[in-house]
Amino acid sequence: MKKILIAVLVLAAVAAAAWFGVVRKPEQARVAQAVQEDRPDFEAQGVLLRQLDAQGKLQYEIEAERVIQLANGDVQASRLSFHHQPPPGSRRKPQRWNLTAENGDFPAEGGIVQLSGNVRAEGREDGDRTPLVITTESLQYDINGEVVTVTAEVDITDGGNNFKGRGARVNIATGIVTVESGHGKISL
Amino acid sequence: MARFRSDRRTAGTALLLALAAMNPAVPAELSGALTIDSWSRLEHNVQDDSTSIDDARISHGSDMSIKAGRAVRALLPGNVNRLTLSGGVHIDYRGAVLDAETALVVFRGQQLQSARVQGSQATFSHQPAGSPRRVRGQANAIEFDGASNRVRFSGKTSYTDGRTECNVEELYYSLADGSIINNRPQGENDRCTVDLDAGARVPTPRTPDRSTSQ
Repeated sequence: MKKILIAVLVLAAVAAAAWFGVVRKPEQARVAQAVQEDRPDFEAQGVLLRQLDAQGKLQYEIEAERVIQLANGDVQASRLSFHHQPPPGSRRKPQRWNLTAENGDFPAEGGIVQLSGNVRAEGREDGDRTPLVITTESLQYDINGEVVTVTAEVDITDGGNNFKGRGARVNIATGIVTVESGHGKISL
Repeated sequence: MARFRSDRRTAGTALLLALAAMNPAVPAELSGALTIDSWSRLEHNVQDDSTSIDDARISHGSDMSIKAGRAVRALLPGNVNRLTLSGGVHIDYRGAVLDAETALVVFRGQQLQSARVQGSQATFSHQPAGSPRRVRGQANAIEFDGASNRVRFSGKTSYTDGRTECNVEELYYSLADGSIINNRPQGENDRCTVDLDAGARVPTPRTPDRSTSQ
């Protein structure tokens, strides 16, 4: 009888602890859930990953030495090449953008790609002999907005033009490059 | 209005033709690397290769420097670089200085073709080689032509070199030898005054008296 009473008390204590942890500490539960989302869903070495949109159309391609896809669908890539072909507008030729970086974060829903470490971005219109080349340490590539944004030191070359500054914005749709806090000589 | 004084002579612009240099102006070497040495912000259009630059300091070899609040560079056929300048434009070319609100400077490759400044009275100054006087001029528009190495003033032009003063509609000034030329028929309000005493020598200071010197 005494043993049964002890067992009941132990079970009651475990049940109370479980209720306290789940119901009375919801933030802890959320953290636990977030940890679950950050958990790698799969990891692959030396891969070519093609991201399709809802219609099954190719959004972008990633070639990377290592790729991790998280449970929430986000992709983290190391030593990667990223290829994107913005849809051609009515007043511009088709373009292709090739970017390389040490690291890249790719949201599952597309949107803004974050690249860092020895970033090099090359954008070229069909028929162009020379690409627009951006080199920097950190860069955001907005797939939907078709804008490249840099807040770090940046070096931009377009044919014979070379611009250095801190901060830049490239509107892929209009072909307008803005460079902030410029420095260094520009040969005309 | 013409002035009459015992030590001055009034002269029409026709007289200035006589003051003009007998030697034709020799075009200077106007080549050099065309660079933007400093700037704050720029917008570059990949489609047409035009560039708009804020707070630009531009140099052309060692002869020419330009400061402007904004410089818009356009590449035209024939390897022509056209710079449209605005916002406190200051051009310094071999001692000649042009100040204006706006300017248009044209290069063919690395060769300076022309510079035209405009504004509510663009100003010009130049120190001719070997001359003690600095030439100063104002006009609605001032153009520098690289081929002839001359500066053309047009529209309400006033000019002085310390000895000659002109208020005319149009005037040419040679950067090579500092001479001035007016090719137009003299207008009703055109006036030039030559001060013949302005070049008189200053007497040599006398030796101080020993008795009064300290």
